[in-house]
Amino acid sequence: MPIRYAELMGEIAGLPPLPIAEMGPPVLTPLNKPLSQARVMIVTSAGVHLEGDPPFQHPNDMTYRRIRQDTPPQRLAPSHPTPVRRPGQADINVVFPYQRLAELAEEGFIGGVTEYHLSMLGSIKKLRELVTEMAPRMAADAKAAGADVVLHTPL
Amino acid sequence: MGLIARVLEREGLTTVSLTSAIDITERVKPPRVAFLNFPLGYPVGRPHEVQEQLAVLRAALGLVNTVGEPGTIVQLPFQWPDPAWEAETVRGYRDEAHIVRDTRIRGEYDGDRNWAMEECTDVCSLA
Repeated sequence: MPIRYAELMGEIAGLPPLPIAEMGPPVLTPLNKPLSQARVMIVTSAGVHLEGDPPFQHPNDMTYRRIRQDTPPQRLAPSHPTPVRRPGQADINVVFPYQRLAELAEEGFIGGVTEYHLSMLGSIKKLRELVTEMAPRMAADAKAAGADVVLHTPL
Repeated sequence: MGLIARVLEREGLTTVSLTSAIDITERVKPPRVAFLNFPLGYPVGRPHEVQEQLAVLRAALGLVNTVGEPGTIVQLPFQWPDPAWEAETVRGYRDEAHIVRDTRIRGEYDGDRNWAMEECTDVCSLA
């Protein structure tokens, strides 16, 4: 049985279940071209950042960063403060599969990859600001990059 | 993450969300979801398992061709090698219950006020 994290984190902490918004049905935007012609962008909440740049702040860092597709993998690291970052430290493609996307573009499964991707750090609790300010900015940035499909990778 | 996907989709982008926390995803309802029942921290598969990562991505991205119902969650056909991983993960959290509690109180409460829960209620009409 899959782990039900919200209840588990309530039960073991002696608190109510995790505060998770109970949303209504989402909007669906169909892809208007074949996947083999679509440009894919990653939007990750693993806090992937460039070596030498400061890690994202936890919690509630309301910024995001562009990560260029041509960045060498050894210059990238996740900045999640808990041990869940470790698999991504061992291989950044676990949380930021940009080299795999390049291979899928090469084999023709997708049309291409955007020149940059977007990275932020998850577990944000300031949800109003997230959906009214930060996410609309990210949407505009994704469109500016020519993204047709956005792949979300969480941490 | 799911809330961002909802906003992006509303703004005209097609999204696919990978998740390994099915209960949270069921509540947030991103537009199109690929559920990988792996431990948290491995959203695209295990480190250096290139073929596994590619297979996960092909299956997830392929949902743009097959999902017609908003909020569809498709479980991907991959299994974590150790079948005991879920029980061990739960045990690990229980062993660190005090850390979970401290982190949650710091991150969700202002005195007795659970402001994070208030944000959850308010966001329902915004995304």
